[in-house]
Parts: sequence; structure tokens; C-alpha cells
Amino acid sequence: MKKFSFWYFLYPGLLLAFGLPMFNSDRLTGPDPFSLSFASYLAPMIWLVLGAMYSHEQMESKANGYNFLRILPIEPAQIVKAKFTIVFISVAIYVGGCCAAFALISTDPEYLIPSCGYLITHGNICLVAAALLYLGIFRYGFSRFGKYVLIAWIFLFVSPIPFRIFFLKPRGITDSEIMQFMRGPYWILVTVICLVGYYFLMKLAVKRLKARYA
Amino acid sequence: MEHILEIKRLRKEYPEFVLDDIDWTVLKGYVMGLIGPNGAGKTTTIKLIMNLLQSDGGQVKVFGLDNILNEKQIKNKIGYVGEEQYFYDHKNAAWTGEFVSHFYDRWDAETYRSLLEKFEIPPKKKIRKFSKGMKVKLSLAIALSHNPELIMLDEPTSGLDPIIRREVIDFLKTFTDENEKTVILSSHITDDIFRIADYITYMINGQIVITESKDELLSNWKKIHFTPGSLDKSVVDTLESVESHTFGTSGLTKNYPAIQDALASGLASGDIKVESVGLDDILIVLVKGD
Repeated sequence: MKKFSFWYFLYPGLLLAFGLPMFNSDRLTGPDPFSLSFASYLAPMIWLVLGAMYSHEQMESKANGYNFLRILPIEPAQIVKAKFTIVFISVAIYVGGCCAAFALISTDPEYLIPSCGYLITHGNICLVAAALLYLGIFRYGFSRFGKYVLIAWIFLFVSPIPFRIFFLKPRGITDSEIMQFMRGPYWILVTVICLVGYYFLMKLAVKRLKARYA
Repeated sequence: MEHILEIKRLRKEYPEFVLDDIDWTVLKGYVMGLIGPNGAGKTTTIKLIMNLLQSDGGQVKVFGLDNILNEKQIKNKIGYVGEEQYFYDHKNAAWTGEFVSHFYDRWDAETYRSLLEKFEIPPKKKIRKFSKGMKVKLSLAIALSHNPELIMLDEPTSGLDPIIRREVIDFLKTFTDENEKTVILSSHITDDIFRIADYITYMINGQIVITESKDELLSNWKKIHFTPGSLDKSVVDTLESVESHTFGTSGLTKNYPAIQDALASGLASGDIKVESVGLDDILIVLVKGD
């Protein structure tokens, strides 16, 4: 487990170590969401949150953890809430920590707000993706659904590249337009929608787990 | 006398098995043995009581409370050991005790520690390295360390070697005698149940066919050996599982007091002999007669 943890944290650690100075250099031209510095912030979030989720569920599956929890005085709602809360806290700590690191480098709101907004938006995507994956796990069990978690993990991890190549470029959407979007109130709206969605997906997940137990 | 468990018309349907509207009660402070062949519905019944399965009808009340509406409250007062033991097996017994302690209101860390010691369970050894017997004992230690009012054991000794099995049953007997706990022990190993149960329930094909005190059961059920012509035909017709052999004929009665007078002369002449039966004999008759 210790050995696993070392490798698990090595990759995002390296990305963050290289990404932080590069954020500084981005200030010269304005933050570019597709620059290496941003990729080095987004990728570890997906790696850590969905990766942790995958490994935890794999462990639950191997140990029949849900059967063990089921005999304890604990309701399915508590199990689901605990898992959703861990994901939420992980994303919040990560996004909060990165935004704090950005603020240490530049407090200029012109750069800081869209940068943080961009990270928060990806945090939202991460939350909703995790919630949907939990729904699948509770419905079908990890042994059947685990591979989709793995696929989603890899897909989200590399998605900015195909998204840029196959979606943004053909439509002529420039980075500065995206940044303009991020400077507006839209990401706040997206955040609210995602958080409300996350809450309702959690409620749905409770029903799924109850149904699976039955 | 107070009932700790009341089941009314409990039903569970599977494609090849139906738990058929069973009614069942268990008295507080006694050990109830649930006997039946494999597939009789014992585990299904216990899982329904624990709300580990969803019933297709009926009601279960534990401590006077509905088991679905008050699941958490009820589980807080139940010590459960299932046929299969599930743990986070990459963790050790000490971690597991600490983990489950957060969920029980009356968890006693000292009891848990002393039970681990008594059962010779190494607290720091990973559970995946435990034998089946050690896992059962760990399960038992957890089940007993939160001062449960009801202990439910579903085939806990299944798959254990006779030495560990005896050790577990002897411990349970001492524990229940000393603490006056209510216990429901399900098993197809009748010897285990004979050793500790006060009451016996036989379950066959999803139905409860007998439920009464062990003493009453064993005084009602007797094996009668008789020579040809020594026993009135009307009595012979009431016997179950009648077999003829070199020394005469044998059969089981399930109502010995009712035929006792009819046997008196045969007993005096030595043509009739009465023998006590084991729980196994009754089970076999019930299964065959089903």
C-alpha cells in the first residue's frame, strides 16, 4: 500500500512541481487554458480524484466491503454520503490549494479569476463524472462497471487534447474567447448547476445502493 | 414472557424457492436453534431479519420495532455473524475494531481486546492471512463487543474443523449462560444446536414445521422398538419412519405422552423399548415426510 501510494502521488506531484513555475511564465502572455501549466494542474485533479475513487472501489469489491458495511448499524445513505463527501472534499482541497498557489504568484484579478474559474469548472466536471460513475458502480457493481470508471478516468485525463483538436479548432474558438467566457459569471452558473446536480445524483445513488442491497 | 423477535407472514420469493408466509417468535433471554437442511430458508430468514434482503411481504419486529423503519437502531443492538465473513482483509483486527467502534453506541474496546486475546487473534496481523476459523472468531469478537441484546449466528461453524467448532460453541454456551443473552443460532449441524439451544425451530422448504422448547421436543419425540404384534396397529399407524429389521420394527413418535399408556404392557414384558432421539433423527423424519 505504501509502495502504491508513492507511485500514486509521484506523477501528480511532478506535474505540479513543473506546472507552478510555468504558471508564472504564463502571466507574460495571459493564462492559456491549454498551455502545459494548466494541463499540469488539471491532470493531477482527475488523476487523484477518479484514481482514488477507482482504487477505493476496487478495494471495496475485493474485500466485499459493501457486505461488511451492510451488517453494521449504518444506513446506505450514510455510505453514499461519505463517499460523495470525500470526492467533494478532495476536489475542493485540490482546487482551493491550486487557486491559493496561483494567488501567491499573481494576485492580478485579470489572470487569477479566469484561471481559478477554469479550474473550478473542471472541478465541477470531475464531481459530476465521479457521481455518474458511482451511480454505475452502485447499480452494476464494481466487477461489471469498474472498467468504465477506468475508461472515464483515462478519457477525462486526456480529453483536453482531443477537445482542442476536434471541437475548438474546427469551430475557430480561440483561447482568448474561452478566457473571456471564464472572466464572465458563467462559470459561477455552471458551478451552481453542477453542485445542485451533484446533490441530486447523490440522492439517486442512495436509491441505487438501496436497490442493490435489496 | 417478552418476545424479542416477532415475525408475521414473512415472505420471500425466488424462482426456485419460496419462504412461505412464516410466523415465528423468539423469547427474550433464550437461545433459539434454527435447524434445517441446506436451502431450507434459514439464511434467508436471518437476512430478512437483518434487513439484508427485501421481503415480498409480512412484517418483522425486533425489540418491538419494525426492522426496516428502525434498521440502524436495531442493528446497534444485534451481534451478527454470517456464514461468510466479510472484512477489509488488507487491514488487521485492531484497525477493524477501531473502524466498527464508530458505528456502535455501546462499543467496548476492552471487551474487544480481551476477546481477541481469548481467541488468540493477533491484532496486527492482516486479516487476509487469517484462517476461516480465525475469521469466524474475529466476527464473533466484533459481534459481542458492543453489548448486543440479540446475537444472530447464521451457520457460524460451517466449514470449521471439529476442534474450532467445539471451541466456538463452548464459548458461546458459556457466554450466553453468563450474560443471559438472546441468541438465534442457525445451523444444519444439529450437535451444535443441541449443546446450547433452549428452543428449537425446524425449517423445511421455506416453512416452519416445528418450534418448541428443546426439552418438550425431546420428550415428545421418541424412538419405539417393538417386536411383531406387540404394538397395537392404531399406534403403529401414528409412527413416523417405520423400519423393519432383524430384531423387529422401529419407528418414531412425535407425541410420546399420547401413546405412553398403550406401550405400558409391552414395556413391562420387554417387547417394546423406548429410546431418546437426537435432533438429527427428527430432522431426517421431517425432511423425508415433507
